[in-house]
Amino acid sequence: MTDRTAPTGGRPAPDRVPDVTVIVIAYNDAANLPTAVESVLTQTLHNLEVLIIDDASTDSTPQVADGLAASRDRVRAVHLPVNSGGCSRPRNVGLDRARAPHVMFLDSDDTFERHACKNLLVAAERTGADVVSGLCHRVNLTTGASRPWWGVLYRQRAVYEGIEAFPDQLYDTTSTNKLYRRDFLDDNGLRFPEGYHYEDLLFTTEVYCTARRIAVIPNLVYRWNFVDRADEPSISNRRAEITNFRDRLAIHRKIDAYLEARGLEQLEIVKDRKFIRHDLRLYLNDLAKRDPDYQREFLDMARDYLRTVDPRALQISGTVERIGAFMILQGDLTETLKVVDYLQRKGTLSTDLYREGGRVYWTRKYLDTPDGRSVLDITALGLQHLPLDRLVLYNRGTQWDVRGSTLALGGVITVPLNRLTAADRLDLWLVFRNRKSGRQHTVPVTQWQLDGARLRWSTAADVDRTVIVTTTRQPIWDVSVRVTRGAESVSAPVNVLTLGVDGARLVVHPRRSVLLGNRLECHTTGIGNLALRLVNTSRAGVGAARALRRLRRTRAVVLAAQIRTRLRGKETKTKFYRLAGRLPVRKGTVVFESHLGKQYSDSPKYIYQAMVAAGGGYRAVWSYTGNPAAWPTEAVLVRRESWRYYYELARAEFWVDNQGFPRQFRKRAGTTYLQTWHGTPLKTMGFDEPGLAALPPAQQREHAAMIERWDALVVPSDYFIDTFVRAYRYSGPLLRVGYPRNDPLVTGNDPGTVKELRERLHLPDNRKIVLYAPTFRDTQHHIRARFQLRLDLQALAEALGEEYYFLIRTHYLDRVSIPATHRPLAANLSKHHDVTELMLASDVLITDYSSILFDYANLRRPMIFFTYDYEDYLRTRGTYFDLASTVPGPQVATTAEVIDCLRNLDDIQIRFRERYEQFHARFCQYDTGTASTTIVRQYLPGPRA
Amino acid sequence: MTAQATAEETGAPTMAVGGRRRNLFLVANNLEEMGGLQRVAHNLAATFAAAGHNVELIGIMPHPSALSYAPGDTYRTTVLYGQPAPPAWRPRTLRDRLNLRSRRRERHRRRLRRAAVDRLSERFRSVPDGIVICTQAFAMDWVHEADTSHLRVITQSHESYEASRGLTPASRGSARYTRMRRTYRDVDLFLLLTQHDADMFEREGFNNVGVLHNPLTMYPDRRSDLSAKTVINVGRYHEQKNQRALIDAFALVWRRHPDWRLQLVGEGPLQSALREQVDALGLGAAVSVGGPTTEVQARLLASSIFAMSSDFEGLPLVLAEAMACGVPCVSFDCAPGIREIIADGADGLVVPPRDTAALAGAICRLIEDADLRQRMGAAARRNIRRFAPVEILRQWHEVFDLVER
Repeated sequence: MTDRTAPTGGRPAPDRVPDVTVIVIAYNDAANLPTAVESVLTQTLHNLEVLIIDDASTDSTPQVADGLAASRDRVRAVHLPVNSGGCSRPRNVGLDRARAPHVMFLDSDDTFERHACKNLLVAAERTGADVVSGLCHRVNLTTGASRPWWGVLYRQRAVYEGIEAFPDQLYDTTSTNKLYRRDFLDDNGLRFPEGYHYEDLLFTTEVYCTARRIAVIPNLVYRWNFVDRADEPSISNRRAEITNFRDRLAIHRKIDAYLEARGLEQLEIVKDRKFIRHDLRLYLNDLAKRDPDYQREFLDMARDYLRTVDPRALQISGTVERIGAFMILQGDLTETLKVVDYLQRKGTLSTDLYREGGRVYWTRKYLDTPDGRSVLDITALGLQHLPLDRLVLYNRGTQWDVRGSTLALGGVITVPLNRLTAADRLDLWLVFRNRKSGRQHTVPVTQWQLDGARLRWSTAADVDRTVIVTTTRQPIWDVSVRVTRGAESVSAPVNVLTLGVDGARLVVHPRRSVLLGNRLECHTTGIGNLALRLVNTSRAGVGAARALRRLRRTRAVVLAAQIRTRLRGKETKTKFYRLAGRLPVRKGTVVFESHLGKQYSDSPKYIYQAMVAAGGGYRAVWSYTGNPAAWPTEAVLVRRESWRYYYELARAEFWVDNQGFPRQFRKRAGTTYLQTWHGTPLKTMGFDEPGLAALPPAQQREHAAMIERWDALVVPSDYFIDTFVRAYRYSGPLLRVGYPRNDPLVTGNDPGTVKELRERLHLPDNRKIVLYAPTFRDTQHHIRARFQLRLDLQALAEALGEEYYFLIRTHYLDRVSIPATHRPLAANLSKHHDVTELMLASDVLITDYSSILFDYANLRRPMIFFTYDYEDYLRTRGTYFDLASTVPGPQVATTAEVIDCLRNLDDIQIRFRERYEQFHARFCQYDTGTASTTIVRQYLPGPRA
Repeated sequence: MTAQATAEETGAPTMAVGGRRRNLFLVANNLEEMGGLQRVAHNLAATFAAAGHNVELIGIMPHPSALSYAPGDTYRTTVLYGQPAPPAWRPRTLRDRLNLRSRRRERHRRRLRRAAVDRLSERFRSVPDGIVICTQAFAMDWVHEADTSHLRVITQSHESYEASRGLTPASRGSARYTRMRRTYRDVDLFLLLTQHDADMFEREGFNNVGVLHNPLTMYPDRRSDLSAKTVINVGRYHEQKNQRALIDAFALVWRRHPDWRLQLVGEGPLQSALREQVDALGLGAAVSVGGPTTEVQARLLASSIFAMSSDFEGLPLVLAEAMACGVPCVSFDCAPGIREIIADGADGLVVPPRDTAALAGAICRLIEDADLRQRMGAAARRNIRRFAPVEILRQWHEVFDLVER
């Protein structure tokens, strides 16, 4: 792109008043200053000026600043006579010298987004706000990764009449991603506090509290850069020094005094809550790594400060955060660190949970102190009901040794609430798990002993024999101990924070090639766990590896790889398929596939099971993708798109699936294709949907050809015939037998089966189980966002914690993650293959437009329709019937309403009984629980000898 | 620097039409192709020239079809290439790579391209300052490479966000979005036709979006008296316009009102298929599937209802044109742009997409209630003034002021 800042285009005449003054402060940063200034001069807003304030730098910064001022006519430079030691003084000097009606701040190591000034200025002029704030990104210059800073505040445009209208905005305390009206700052005497670090915190608080109107725009405006492990971190990032924490507390005290003087009590609570959740956490996360003096001093200071905090701020923070504050107030370092373990290390339980009188407490200690009993009560978290495999056990490494290729390790696992006892048959394994591929290598732990709440173990492993090195892409292995009891198992990463293992090397000889590396080096991960990393220590090896990499890029090798890919490609395989199709059909062979090979589930699964139950004679072949562990070992398993897959399809007598075998498979004469389609349609589809109807004729014909392959279609209701069958213009035979996948919902709907199923799925048996299955949001897919969980888990936990347990099941194309701290409340079972089992195990369903509602109706259990985006969704996708007047349950739009519904399930069942019956009769018409057996008996010819 | 600033200042006060006289470049893929965009570009150029600006309309390549819009002599036109350039070389196989003729042709193509960029830079350098308005993403490739350091650059997308992302069947596989990510994000302003599209692009990290409608090309002195028993549709006979649904809907209407007629105006690959459909439905006397006409305005003025049954649209200006003629519109709610033109229930009717029965129902409602028809027709003509050229020109001047700040 051409340089748009060339002075030839300089429209603003020198004497014209600029729209914005950008105050760039610099101290000993000659290297970055030009980049920062350039990011202002290349703004799409041209009518602005840059004011560089050099804080008496001792490097070449003054010369660089003067050079910029001399060569660029929109730049001025000011030099302070003595260094001020902070950001406040230079910014205040800049404010005094600014000419424009609006001002912005920029640090010399950061940059503006290209349209930042214009977007902020236009927003200021349109809204008349005193301050306009835009999105800031934290940019890791080492990795290039960029993450929104308090992005949740910047989802959409907003105008607030004063900070009371939206106190959460207080969380964003950076002064640099904002544009200020200069009059507003001058008239109210708003300046940065000199002599303090973290000056932004006080300044922005004062600005927010003084502004009559605050505007927010969703556009990125500021890039806040940082470098990983810099030798000299910037001021605000030197958390390892204790004075740094002292500075932060000092500024918070000033903020407190300010808010108190103005009588802004509510805001003070919001601010204190942010202090506990954000500021304090920053220091706590690293506390375990600090030396004892630091830890002691830190704890004293934190305790003194927390004593001044409004107790109400503690009330509104989360349960475990509250315990953290409690422990700091007790001045108890050990217990504080245990809270940090839980919060930072994905729910690691290094504390000794204590049970008394049906309640569960964080620890036994402090139960007799005034607030102790209520603060430490964590019964609501539900840890006591959590299945073993969802707990994260604390495993403190106690000894280690590295000799040759042998790694000797020992440690102590903390067992919470006697979840493991001496009476159990336990097995312990040392597990090396590749971080990229997830591949695991295990060796048995030779010595262990369970002693009350402590499981002591030690073992030695020859890593050269155990860890199989096959790749150089992500040669890192995490080390943990897995404890198994029957079918249950739980993992405990080995914590080596205090052992100092870093740098120790194990000798290995990778099977693929020694060029990959010859040593596994121990290191401690960011949260203190042991990991091994492949390194190369021999010079010959390093050179050879480099040569190999270079060779791989040569044209001949690249070409050879292309030819290889081609030979293994779809076209070659399709030719092979046609050839194999000339061999006779293998009678009795049935190829099954569910959801394009992604799952062992749905109707094909239940037809398969019925077929196996009917007796021998068949040869079942299952297509799979990914890890085949979930598929039955009795069947012949073929990876989808493999040579074998093409071969089996070419010769099978039956194909059974629920979506569609790839289009290149033209069905031969002797094969029969049974289509069991994966659900009753709610949204318009096929030729009723614009997407297909508007395709060019050639593609429409191709689509029709895929459907013509079907020899029979399973039908659950006449409604299905009116919609799906018509929309896809299918004219072959219909099997009016109901969905095989719904058989267990009809036949297994009894307490015994459900209890058994819950045990198998490790679900708590004493809580109501809520299945949340939202549908695929195609508009979200387009913007490549993750599925946004719109149920507020925190609110659910607080309202329903001890009574309910949530299973989250997203569409298989969506992904969602649940924060570790909510694990006692909810599990993400999106990867579980068979949703039928989840339905059967649940007590109530929450869904929106997913076709799961038709299947669930077989259970006659309550359904809640959480259709928060009803209008939007219906506008983008048409439906076959009016949702609001047909669905057999309440339609709600907020978490609060969901909670209300869950508390009144009986009411719902009464209110919707009539409609439920109509719904069931219409959509579950043929579901009688015998679909799979009928199909096997009547449709798949009986077993042959 | 100073010399140029002075030149500009001396130029400023003498030209008072619609603000300061400006040097404007409009850049389009070509200047001839029969299609909405080229018509829009010529119109815009003429409008700007009439407002006193110094306008040049630049097409990247000549187009084989004959020029269907007579360019006025109020603005200059330039075409960068002498003849359509060959498509870029995309070798697939080893044999492709070894093909020397292709390689030679590719070198030649690159040379032509460099020459075109140079020509463009040269045109840009002919003025000391000004604004480039690039109306299409393809053309932006050349603008992006040319020297625009002394100019401000505005880009436009006349396609909906969904079409730009290749999410609609017709646009699947299009390279437009890749192009836009590369060349549209840094320009001074990126203009879209609807607020919805602007919001969607903003969510994708385009921080320079704005909204500006295309101006109406007609605002006749009189309005239709809405007495003719004619329903009209103007548009290409293409899958996307889906006139099939309109014919189906009219079949339902016709059963109740056999004295009404449907008139389709346009041309395209589906013309004969639509005729067959009409015959199959036995509507031969009631529905005419006509060819293109230069008399669109007269046809609209002789109609009483405009009906549209498209699958996808951007901001369909043809609706606005019908409204300018005082003809109330009925349309599928097939794009956010529909509701930016029609105020449902006030100056027209919007029905759910692909709901043929609802479309028929809405047409019948307007047929049966002459009073409603008159009221909506009058409201339509009044409301659509916001698309009138003078109003759009005022907005363009605001845009110019904004990018020049």
